[in-house]
Amino acid sequence: MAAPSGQTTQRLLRELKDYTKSPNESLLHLGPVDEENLLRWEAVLKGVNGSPYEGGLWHLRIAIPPNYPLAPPTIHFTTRISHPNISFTTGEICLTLLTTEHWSPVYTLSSTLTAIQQLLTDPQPDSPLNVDVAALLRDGDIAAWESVVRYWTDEERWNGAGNLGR
Amino acid sequence: MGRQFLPALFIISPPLLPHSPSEPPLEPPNFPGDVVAHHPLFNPLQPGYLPPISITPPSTRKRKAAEAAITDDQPLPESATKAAHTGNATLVGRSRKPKPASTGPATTCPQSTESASSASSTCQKKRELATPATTEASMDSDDDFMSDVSSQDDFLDMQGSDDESLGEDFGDLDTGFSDDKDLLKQKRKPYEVEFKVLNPPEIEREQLVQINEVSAILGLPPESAAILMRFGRWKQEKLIEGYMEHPEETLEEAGLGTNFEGTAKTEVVPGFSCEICCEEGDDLESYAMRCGHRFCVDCYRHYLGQKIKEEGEAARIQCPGNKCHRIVDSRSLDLLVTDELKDRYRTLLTRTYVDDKDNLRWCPAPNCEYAVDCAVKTRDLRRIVPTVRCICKHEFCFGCSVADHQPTPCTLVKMWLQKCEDDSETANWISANTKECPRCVSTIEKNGGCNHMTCRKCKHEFCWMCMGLWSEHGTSWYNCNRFEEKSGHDARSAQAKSRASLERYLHYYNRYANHEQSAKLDKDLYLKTEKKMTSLQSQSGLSWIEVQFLDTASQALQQCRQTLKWTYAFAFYLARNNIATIFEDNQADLEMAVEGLSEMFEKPVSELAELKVDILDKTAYCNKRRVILLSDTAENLKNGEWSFNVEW
Repeated sequence: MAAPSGQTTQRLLRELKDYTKSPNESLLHLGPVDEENLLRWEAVLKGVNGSPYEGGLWHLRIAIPPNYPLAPPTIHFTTRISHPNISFTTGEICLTLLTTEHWSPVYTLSSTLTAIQQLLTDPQPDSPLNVDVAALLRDGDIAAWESVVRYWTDEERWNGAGNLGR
Repeated sequence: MGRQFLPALFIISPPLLPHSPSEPPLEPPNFPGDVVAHHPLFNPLQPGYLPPISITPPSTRKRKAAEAAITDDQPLPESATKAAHTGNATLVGRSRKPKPASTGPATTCPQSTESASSASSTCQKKRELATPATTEASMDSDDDFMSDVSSQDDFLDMQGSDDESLGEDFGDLDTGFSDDKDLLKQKRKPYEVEFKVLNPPEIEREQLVQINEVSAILGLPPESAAILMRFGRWKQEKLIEGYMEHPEETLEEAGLGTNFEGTAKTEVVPGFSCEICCEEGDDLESYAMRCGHRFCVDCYRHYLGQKIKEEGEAARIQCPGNKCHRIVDSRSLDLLVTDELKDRYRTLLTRTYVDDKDNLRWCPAPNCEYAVDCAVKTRDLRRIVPTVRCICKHEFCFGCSVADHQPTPCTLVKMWLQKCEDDSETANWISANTKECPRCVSTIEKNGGCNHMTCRKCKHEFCWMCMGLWSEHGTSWYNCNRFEEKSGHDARSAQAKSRASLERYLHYYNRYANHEQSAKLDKDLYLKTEKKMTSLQSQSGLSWIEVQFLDTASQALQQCRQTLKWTYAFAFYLARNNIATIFEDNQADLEMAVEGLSEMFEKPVSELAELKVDILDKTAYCNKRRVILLSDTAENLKNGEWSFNVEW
C-alpha cells in the first residue's frame, strides 16, 4: 500500500487527538491497530439502548486509503452481527456514505462509525446483504427479528479479545 | 442391441427443418456475365425473376449513367422512361407478393400510392445501379464494348416487354415517375440513414451554443446555465418551461441554488480552519462556492483531482461539504485546477454530453474520438436498421453500437447474440449425446447401464430407448417393442420437436458463424492483397491503378459477408411466407456470388490478370446483389411487412 501523504497523516493524527479529547458516545474504542501503520484502525461499537442490539459490543476493522479523506475508509465488522445490511459471514457493510459517490471528505472516522450505529437502529431491508433477517423484517415478523438479533448480539458479543491499541 | 434403434427414433421430421443441412453446395457460375441468365432462379417466367443488372458492359453503363443524369433535370422521352423503369420494376414485384405471371397487362390499374412509391424507388435503384459502373468503365477500354451497345439496348427492351406481361404491379409506372423529383433529392438507399460525424471540437461548440442560448434566455451566468442544461439532459424547451414554472425548485434540484451573487475567487479568511485537512492559519488561502462551504485551496484541488482523475466524474461533482449538493461549476474549477485537469474535465463533460443526447453516439471503434449525429429514435428501431459510418471508416449501428448488422433489426441482433452465447458451444454436444427427461425436460446424458432411466431431478422413470413410461414396459422392455404406445409416442414427438428447433437453430448459426469465419479469412487474404498487387504489377506489367480491382474486390467481399452473416440471424427469426422465400432466394444468390468471388480471389497471382474482368464483374454483381437484398429487406421492415416467429 502506498504511504499516506502528509495531508492524510496530519488529518488522521488530528482525528485521533479529537477522539481522545472528546470520545464518541457510541464507541468503546477507536484508534490505530498499532503505531507502525496509521492506515489500519479498529473500533469497538456499542449497541443502542432500547433496541434489540442493546448491550452488544462489536469489533470493527477499518482500512484507510492513502488518499483519505478524499476517498472513504473501508469498514468491516469482525464480530458477527445479524443485520439486514451487514453480511453475516464477511462483516461487509452496505451503507451509501461509505461509497465513493456519496462520501464527503468532511466525514471523519468517528462520525462514520456513528452513522454505522444509526444503521443498526434503522435497517433497510429492501437492499439486504443478509437476506434471512431482511426477510423477517420485510414480512413484518418483528418478534422473530428481534429475538434473532438479540440471540446473536448476546451470543457473539465482543469479549475483549485481541489487543486493542493503547 | 437396443441401441441400434436409436437413430431411427430421433429422425427429425423434415417439415420442421426449413433447410436440410445437406443443401447442394453453391456452385460458382461459369461466366460472370451470364450468371443470371443461366441460373435456375432467374427463369424469366417465374414471378420472382430478377433482371440481370450487372451484366451490362461498362461502356453501356456509362451511357446509362449519363441518361440517368439527364433525368435529373428534364423528363426523358417516353421510351427511355419505360426502359429505365421496367428494367427494375421486376425487383419490386419480387419483393412484394409475387403475382402469377398470367395476370396479363394491366392498363387500367388503380394508382395506389404504394405502387407509386415502389415504382419510384425502382427508379432510384436504377440510378444507383448505373453510377458505380462509371468508375469501372474508366478502367476498361470503351472501344471493346462499343459494338455491344445496341444489343444491350435491345436487351433492356426485351425486359420491358417481359415486365409488361408480369402484370398490374407495374401498370402504373408513369404515375411513379411523376414522383421522381422528390426522389432525386434524397439519393439514399432504403436501408441507409442520414447522419453526420462530429469531431470533439464540434461537439464542444454545439454545447456552447446551447449553453449561451439558455444563459441568454434565463439570464443565468453561462457556467450555471451549463449545469442546468446537464441536469435537464439538454432538453432545452422542457428545461426552460420547468424553470419558468418553478425556478427555485429547478435550481435547487440541479444543484445550483438561487444565489448568483459574487465572483469566484480564492480568499484568505482570518480564523479559518479547513475541515478536511484540519489546517489552520491566518494566511491560508481558501475557496468556497456560493453555498459557503469553505475549504483550503489545497484540499479543494485534491478533491477535484480525485473526482476528475480517479472517478472520471465531471458533470456532477458536488461541493465537498457534508450533504451539500451544489455542483462545482466550470468557473470554480478553472480557478482551482491545473490545465491538464481542465482538459480532462472538458473531455469528460463532452462525454456526458454525447451520452445524454439521444441523437449522438460515440463511434465504438478503439481510440476513435468522433461521435455520430443521427436522428433515428429508439422507437424507430423496429422499422429501421440505422447503420452509420464514422470518419475512421468503422461501420456500426447507431441504435446499439454493434458493428454493422444490416439487415437484422437491433432487438433481433441482441436476441441472436444472446442465443449464440447461450447455445452454441454446448448445443452440438447436447444434441449428439443427450435426451431430455419426458416429464421435466431436464437434459440427461446416459453414462452406461440399462435403459431403465430414473430422472435424478423429478424421479420420473422411463425407457431410454422409446422414452415411454417404464411402468408400461412390463417384462418385455429389453426389445423395447412398445413403439406404438401413446406415452412413448408423445414423449418422442415432444423430443423430436425440441431437437428440431435445435437443429433449426444450428442450421442458421453454422451459416452465420461460417460467414464470420470466412470474413476473417478473407481479411487475412486482404492483408496479402497488397503483396499480391505488387507482384501482379511486376509479373504482368499492369500499372498500380490497374490492379486496384483486387482491393475493391476484397472490400466487397468483406461487406457482403458481413451482410450475409446477419441475414442468417434475420432468417432465423423470420416466419415462413412468401416474402421470406424471396428473402432466402436473394440471400442464396448473394451467397453464391460471394463464394464465387472468394474463390476467384484465392487463385494464384499468375491467373489473376486473366481473371480481372471476371473479378470486376463479380465484384460489381456482389455489390449490387447486396444493395438489392438490403433495400428489399429495409423496405419491408419499414412497411411492417415481415412476420417473425418471435415477439420483439
